[in-house]
Amino acid sequence: MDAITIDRISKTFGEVTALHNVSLTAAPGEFVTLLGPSGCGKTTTLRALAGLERPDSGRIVIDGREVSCAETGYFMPPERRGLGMVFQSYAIWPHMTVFQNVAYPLKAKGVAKADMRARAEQILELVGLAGLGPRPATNLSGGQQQRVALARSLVGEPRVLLLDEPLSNLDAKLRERMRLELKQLQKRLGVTAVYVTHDQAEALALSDRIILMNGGRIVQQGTSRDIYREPQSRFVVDFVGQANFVEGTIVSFDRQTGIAELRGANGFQIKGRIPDALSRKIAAGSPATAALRPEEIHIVDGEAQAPNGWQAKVASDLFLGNMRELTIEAVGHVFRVQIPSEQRLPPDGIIWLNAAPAAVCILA
Amino acid sequence: MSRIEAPPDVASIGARRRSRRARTVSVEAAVCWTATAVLLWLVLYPLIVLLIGSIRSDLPMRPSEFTLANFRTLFADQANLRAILNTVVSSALATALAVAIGVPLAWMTSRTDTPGRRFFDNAFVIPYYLSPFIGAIAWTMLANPRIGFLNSLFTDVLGFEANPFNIYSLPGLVFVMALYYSPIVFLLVAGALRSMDPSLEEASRVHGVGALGTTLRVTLPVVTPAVSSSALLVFLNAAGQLGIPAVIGIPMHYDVITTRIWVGLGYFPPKYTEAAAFAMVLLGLSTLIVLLQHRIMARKSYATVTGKGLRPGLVQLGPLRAVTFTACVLYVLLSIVLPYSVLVFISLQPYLSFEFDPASWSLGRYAEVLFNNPLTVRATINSLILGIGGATLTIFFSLVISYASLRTRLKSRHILDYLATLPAGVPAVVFAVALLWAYIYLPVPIYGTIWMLLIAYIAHYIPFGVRATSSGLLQVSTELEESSRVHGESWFGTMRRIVVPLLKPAMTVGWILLFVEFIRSLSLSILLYSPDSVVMPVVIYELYETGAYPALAAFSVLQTLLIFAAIYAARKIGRVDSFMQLK
Repeated sequence: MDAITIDRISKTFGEVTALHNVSLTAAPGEFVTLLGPSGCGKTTTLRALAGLERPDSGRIVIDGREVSCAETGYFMPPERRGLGMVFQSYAIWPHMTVFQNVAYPLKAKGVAKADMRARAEQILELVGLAGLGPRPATNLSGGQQQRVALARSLVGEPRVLLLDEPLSNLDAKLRERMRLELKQLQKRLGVTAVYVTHDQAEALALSDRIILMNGGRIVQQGTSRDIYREPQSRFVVDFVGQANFVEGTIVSFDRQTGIAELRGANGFQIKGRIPDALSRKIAAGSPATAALRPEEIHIVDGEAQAPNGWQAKVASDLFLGNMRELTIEAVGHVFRVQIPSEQRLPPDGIIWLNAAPAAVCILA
Repeated sequence: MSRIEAPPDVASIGARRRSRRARTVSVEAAVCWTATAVLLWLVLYPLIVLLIGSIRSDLPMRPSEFTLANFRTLFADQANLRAILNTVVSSALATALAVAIGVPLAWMTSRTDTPGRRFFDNAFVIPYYLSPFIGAIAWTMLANPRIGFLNSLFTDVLGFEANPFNIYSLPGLVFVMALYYSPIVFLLVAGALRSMDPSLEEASRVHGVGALGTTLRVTLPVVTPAVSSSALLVFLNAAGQLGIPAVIGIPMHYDVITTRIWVGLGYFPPKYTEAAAFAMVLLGLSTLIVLLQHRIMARKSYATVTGKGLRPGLVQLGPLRAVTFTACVLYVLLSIVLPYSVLVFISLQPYLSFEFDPASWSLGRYAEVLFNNPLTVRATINSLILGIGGATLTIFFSLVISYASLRTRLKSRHILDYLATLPAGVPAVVFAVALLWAYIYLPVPIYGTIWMLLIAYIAHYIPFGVRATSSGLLQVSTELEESSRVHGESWFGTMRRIVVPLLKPAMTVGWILLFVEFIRSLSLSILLYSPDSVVMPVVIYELYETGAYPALAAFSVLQTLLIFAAIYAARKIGRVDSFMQLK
């Protein structure tokens, strides 16, 4: 049985439709990330799960219990859903100590005092804050507040943990460390996690499954690898990672191999894969876009061979430390290319490029 | 309030049970709807009764018909027309003078190196808390044309031929009004001066204009919206208040609308219909002011607020510091020191005398008003009950209203918001007449009891409470409440354990303001009290009318002490300044 089932929920705020028939499920112990730009509906979905928004239609089941059903008008208030949640601002209550913050869910449940103390201290130790209980909660660093919020969300031993951009207020170094700790803790406790973020790197690193949203709809879902390697729309390529785009028309399409050839402006020719989901919609002559990730374009010694071999000229060369980013011009098209930082280039800036057709996506 | 207790198993997703049709009504929705209903009753009901009453020939529950005769007789009387003119003239003059006092004072303490500006900053706010009506009484003792203290000083000590001051004159009236309403200008303008982006002034300095030139050409124009907005507020207050014109205007037969209404209702037979029509005229005047104010607020786009937290530079005044310092001292002297010294002085005397004779001083008058005079004792008890109980009730009611309008998506929230600010634009005298019409023949025995005053205070001063709780609630992140709900606490529990503790500073500030207003409210009380429900300001006025000056002075000093005790206690308890800034 799924830990979470969301069945065709919609939500409008005045004129704005925030969610359009969104359906998703999460298996017990799964780490699911809702990824998308701001206003895509990811936070509204999370808040509907929490009971902080009431969907206009559709149904939500958490851990085998129906918590919201627009058709029957049933709506379980947030406090009875038995969840844990980490908020973007951490939502640490400033008038309470660390202990009072963490023990709050237990107190609301009516847990006995001694038990409450033991469990709160145990969870504080788990998040690395042992002994900080009596401190005023405001007297903590950002990273510590984050841990208090996490401890509070876990102390009630929820089956489902909701996280709303919990790492966005931390500095870059701390964010990477917390990312790792969070993932390890979640796996250790076996709690189902629903994580909202707009940061694709975070999503790729943390998730068992990414659900990419845009304009109140789910655009694509799958493992991090699927999302990165097998994007099914230009939006996905663009939002997750970086890409160069060439627009044009399909010249030929081999349905056996899934490889198609596209011709862009100035007679630029490029071969690439068409995702299975799109193969029915695309035929020779239809307009399409080729997407190349900057790290998939290679500079070759000597003359590159067809397919996908082009002569190009370097327009700019930025040193980024772990790599270099070039802006190059080939057949009247401008590309961004990433190369190792120590790679030598010919002094005249004339180079040959190559990209494997399997690494190029052709999308409708 | 039905909530389904046992949600079904999901095994049967398809076979949804149709019996669970009952829509859930949450506790918060029920509370918010109740608040709307109560507010409608408190605020809108009396105003509607007044509106209809002004075109009826008699009070509600009595045989009457629709008529315009009330307005016809109102405008037929020369004395009434004169009162309307006097209201506009005296209020306009008082407004001009209050701006002329308040703006320079605000500039001196916020933007110059005037000595003691921190002290004056606090001192200038004090008259705002004091009762303007008591200030007026004190000034009649200072500048009475025959026996005033100041007059004696000028004739006996400085050798003037005749008494130079006469408080019973239009300049006297305007002076006292401006004295006690200029803190409004001071507060708003000082706030604007402090939140203005200092780079606006720095740019002027860099481009070649001196300090004073910059003040005149950049600083003051930038705060113009605050000046005009506060000026309208002063006018609204001046035109709608009863205390000062009753004390100073009536003895010199200078009538304004409020005093005409009050006198008309005070003599037998009470002129109820004329009062209603007159109240509508005053309401029209104040509505005009409120509309003007909205237009100004909508346009004030250039009162820029800096987010950088920079301290604006101070103008170095040099030798002029002596002038600004003197001006500051003079204001404190005129508004606080002189009037309250004279009150304390007289309160220590056995009978009214202007001889300086410390041997005769005693606390006998205080004992009298505190223990022996049944009227003052009852008034003190009533005022304390209404002040403490009423302020507490109002602030929690305000919290519910703020919560409903800021935190819910209930359809009624816009009505709530509007209703809760509406009474701020209705003068107390108008509101009192409206309440009189609404409750006098109501079959429920409220009129003539202390409940009438409680209803009047809550209804008229609810904007003070809501302003405090709303600004407090806006500073608390909604995530703090949502986090509590998600982690298992109910709506009511969240209010009790999260919202109220976090709003304690804001609610304390609101409570103090309400308590002060309730303790000193003359206009509402004097039109609605009965012998059982006398309150302090009413008794002070009665003592003034009967000429019992020493007792009057002692009672006024007591009332003032009470106000300051409340401010002090609430600051201690509420730990104001603690986690207000936290989100």
